[in-house]
Amino acid sequence: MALNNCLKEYRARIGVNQQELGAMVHVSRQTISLIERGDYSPSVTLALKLAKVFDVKVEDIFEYTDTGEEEADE
Amino acid sequence: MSDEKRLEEIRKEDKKKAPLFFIVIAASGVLGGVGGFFLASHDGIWDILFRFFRDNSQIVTSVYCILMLISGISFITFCEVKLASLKKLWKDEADRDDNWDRIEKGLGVVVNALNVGQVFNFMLNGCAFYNIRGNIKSLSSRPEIYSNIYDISFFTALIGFTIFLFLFFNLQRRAVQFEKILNPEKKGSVFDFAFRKKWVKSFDEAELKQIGIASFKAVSIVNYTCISMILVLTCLGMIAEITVVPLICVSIIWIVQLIAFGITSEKEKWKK
Repeated sequence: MALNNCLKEYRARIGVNQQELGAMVHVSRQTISLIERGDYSPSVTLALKLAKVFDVKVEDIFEYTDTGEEEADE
Repeated sequence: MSDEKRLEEIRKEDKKKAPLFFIVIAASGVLGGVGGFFLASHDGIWDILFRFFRDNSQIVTSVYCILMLISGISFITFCEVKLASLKKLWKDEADRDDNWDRIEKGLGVVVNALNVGQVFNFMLNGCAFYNIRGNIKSLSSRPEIYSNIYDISFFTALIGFTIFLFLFFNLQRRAVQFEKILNPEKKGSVFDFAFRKKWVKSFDEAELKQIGIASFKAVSIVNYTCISMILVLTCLGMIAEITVVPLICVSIIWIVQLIAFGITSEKEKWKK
């Protein structure tokens, strides 16, 4: 997975659980859990919503690293 | 990249995979031929088997009735027990965050079990009703006790099917209710005829991706299942009196699935 995130840390900073954060950005608790585990990359819209909730930039939460895995698959 | 170069790349990829593809097709054809020869050379056994089921359909339907009761009771008991244990886990607020994923996985198992149980209920009930009054082949001289068995089977199957239908629906309502407690953003009432549409509409992007992948895999598996069933039914039809009805039924299901998937995929592709 090339997209790393520190969503869990930001969530802990504002003291909400996964369900509460999901309600704030209109997604399910499971989706928040998937994002935190790195098993799902959110859409641009969802990433922007999350950044707005924490009052930070998207790049502060998510970091893209080029692992070269996609080129290897090809 | 020019069209010719792209076409060259596509041909290269096809050339790499084509030999194995044709070997598998040829091997399947040989295997099918050997299997067909085996079936045809033992057609006496199939004749005996089908004759037994045809001439004793009313006794066999009693067996289906019993199977329907066993299947219904098993599925409902399993789902009730599982749902109760999940609700117990949920009540434990202290460990709720740790248990949440486990509860959602368990609820998925319950929903799948309910769906499969419903199908078994319909299928076994249909089998239990098959020729229950002896319309297709009446037995001219049958002991009176058989007539009582038929009546008991018929009414048991009818009552059992209705009760199970209600119990399955009630369990599904409770499972949906629990799902909505876990995920408050979910919308839709099971009593609403547009429930499925509203439920899917309340899915978020991750859930939509999941059902997209699941749908595609399901379509692939059903394709393989339908083609296998058609081949088996074709072979059976050559040696036994199974009529063309099963073949047509499987083909209808296959066609409906393909068309529905194709049309829905296109609609979603061009949705604004």
